[in-house]
Amino acid sequence: MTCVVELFGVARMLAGCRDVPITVPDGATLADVWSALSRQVPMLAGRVIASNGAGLADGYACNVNGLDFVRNSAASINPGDRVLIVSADAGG
Amino acid sequence: MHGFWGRLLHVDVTTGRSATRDIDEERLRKYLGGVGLGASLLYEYAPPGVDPLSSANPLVFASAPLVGTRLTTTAKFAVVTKSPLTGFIADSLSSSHFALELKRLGIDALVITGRAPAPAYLFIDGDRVELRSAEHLRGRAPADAEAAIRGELQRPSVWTATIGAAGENRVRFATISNEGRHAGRGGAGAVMGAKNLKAIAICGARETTVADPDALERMAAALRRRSVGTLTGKYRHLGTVANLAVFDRLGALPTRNFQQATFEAADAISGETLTASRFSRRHGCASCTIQCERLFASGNGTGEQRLEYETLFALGPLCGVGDPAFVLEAARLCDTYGLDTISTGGTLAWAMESADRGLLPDARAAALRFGDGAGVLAAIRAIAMREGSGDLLAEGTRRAAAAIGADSADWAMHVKGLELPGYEPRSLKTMALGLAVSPRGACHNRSGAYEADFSAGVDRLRGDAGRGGLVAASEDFAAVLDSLIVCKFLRKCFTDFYAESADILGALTGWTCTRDDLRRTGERIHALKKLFNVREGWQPSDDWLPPRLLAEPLRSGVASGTTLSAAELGEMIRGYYGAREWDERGFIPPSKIRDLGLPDDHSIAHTRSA
Repeated sequence: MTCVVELFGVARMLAGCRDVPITVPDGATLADVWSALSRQVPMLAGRVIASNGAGLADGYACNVNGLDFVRNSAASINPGDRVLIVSADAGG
Repeated sequence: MHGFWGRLLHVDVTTGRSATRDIDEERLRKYLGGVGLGASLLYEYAPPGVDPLSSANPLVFASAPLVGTRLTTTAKFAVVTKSPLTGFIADSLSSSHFALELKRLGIDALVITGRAPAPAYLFIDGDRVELRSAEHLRGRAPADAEAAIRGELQRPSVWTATIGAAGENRVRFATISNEGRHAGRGGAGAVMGAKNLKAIAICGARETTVADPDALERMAAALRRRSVGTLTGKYRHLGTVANLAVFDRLGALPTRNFQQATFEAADAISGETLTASRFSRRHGCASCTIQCERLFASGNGTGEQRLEYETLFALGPLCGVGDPAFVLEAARLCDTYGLDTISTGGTLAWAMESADRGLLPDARAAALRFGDGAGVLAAIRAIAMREGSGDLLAEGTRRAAAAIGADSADWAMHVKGLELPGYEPRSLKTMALGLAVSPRGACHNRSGAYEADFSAGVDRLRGDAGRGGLVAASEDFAAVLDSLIVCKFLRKCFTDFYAESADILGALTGWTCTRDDLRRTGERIHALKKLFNVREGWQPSDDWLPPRLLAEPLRSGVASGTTLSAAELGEMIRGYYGAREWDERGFIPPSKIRDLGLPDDHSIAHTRSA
């Protein structure tokens, strides 16, 4: 299945693009998305994606479809989901 | 005493007389510095019911224990007074060299009362206090006045806090500026203008002592390291303007006076776009390793302009303006005149909607329309100079709506008279509560209630009583940050904020201070602000949101169709009062006042709550 990772802020600047289509197996989790994203956009590995590839680095947060913030990388995703990577620090 | 001076300087600018006074250690332990100490002094020095623009309203500049140490982001000071916009407490923070110099004067606070007989500026050189003529500085922009004062005093080490034309003209949301930064919200600039005081110029030479320098340095070094990692990446690489694209995507970007929650031109003015197309340089406060300020090539391409998210939102989407050149020029004008950008944008957005409905009589104001960048620029000048309809708008949305009538209060987007910041309450329900109950009015800085909405496990589209505890905790946290003072942009760098801060305070002062002590201090400081408001006439109806937010569903974005009902808001507010252990109407019970060691004016609170 395919989902799309939308990048904001520093993540977008590092990747040089706004979004990245990701193909993962059916039943995939967010951890699978982070692994695939690290492979497709190595610039994000260790900076936005944690070095172990299992989650986001400190300072980043994940939101699914613009609605729910999700911390658990074991959360499953659905075909067509839009996975947002934003700063974990919302204010200013 | 380590970390503090234990004294304040009081200047009466009517006579030019000044006197120092001791501040006892118990008071400093209870309220620390910054906002806490400032609120304590406001409570003492302001006569109950004082007119904010009268000579008797004190203008307090409060330093803080961490100022001048090697702890990053601590070069800050608080300005506290009774707000001419809200009639309640106004506590604003600013930062950089003026903060360091204030501490070097050998005082923990400067209290100014009175009204100078002619335009003047205050020069404090160590122990010497002098009131000097400011006739030649009338109408000058803060940055110009700052340079002129430094030039005439021939002292490169002099630092100033200055008002612009808006403050001189008592625009109710005028700022006090120093080094391009501003004590922005609540109209402290108008209070200073009402004192005929153009500027305060200071020059000191004293240094406080530290109880355990080695321990403090170890903790400071650890924080410095953390402050340059990914935890602050947003601030260091993009600045707060990074918020705009995210808020738009989440349906949380107030647009066209809160008629929409997304902006069709968001991409053109996003932090990412501005950085790619107009970034000029990065800057920051003294004693700060984060350096969050972003300067962008200005509208006409001849200069550079600092821009923060709140300014970008208020002068952009809120007014329907999507051309970055106009937004940057509007920001420059606000800095030039000394205007709070949030209240300026909020008031203009109210005027635009009122003009749409044919309610503004003045021809120039009646021509104001959403998206009219040139109109915004003209209106900013009119507000600062109180020309034409600018005189009405200089009063802020609440008073302007009361003057115009015809239901225009329904789209006057303020709480307690303070215009809303750039967080859409209908799609950020915890923030909705935070805005409603804040003692300062609609404020995003005296709590970070939005953080709950931007985290896992909280349904940001649905409010409940449980939000009360989240908002109360966030307010207490902010009260401690704002009183130590530590910049909020460092807040994520603490693993256990209260415990680490207690250790820092202990190393600085030699006091025994625990995590729980500090948490209690936050609660006390917040309660004191509320107590001041109660004394000045706060009523339960003041903790509420503008009618639009409770009557209209969101019309755009991922949360389109979401509503915020009065019942939902009421439930959250009751939950908040319960979490605070206040009575069901929001008054602080006498037992709580005693328990927190607050001023024993419980007869006021008790009478009003009866």
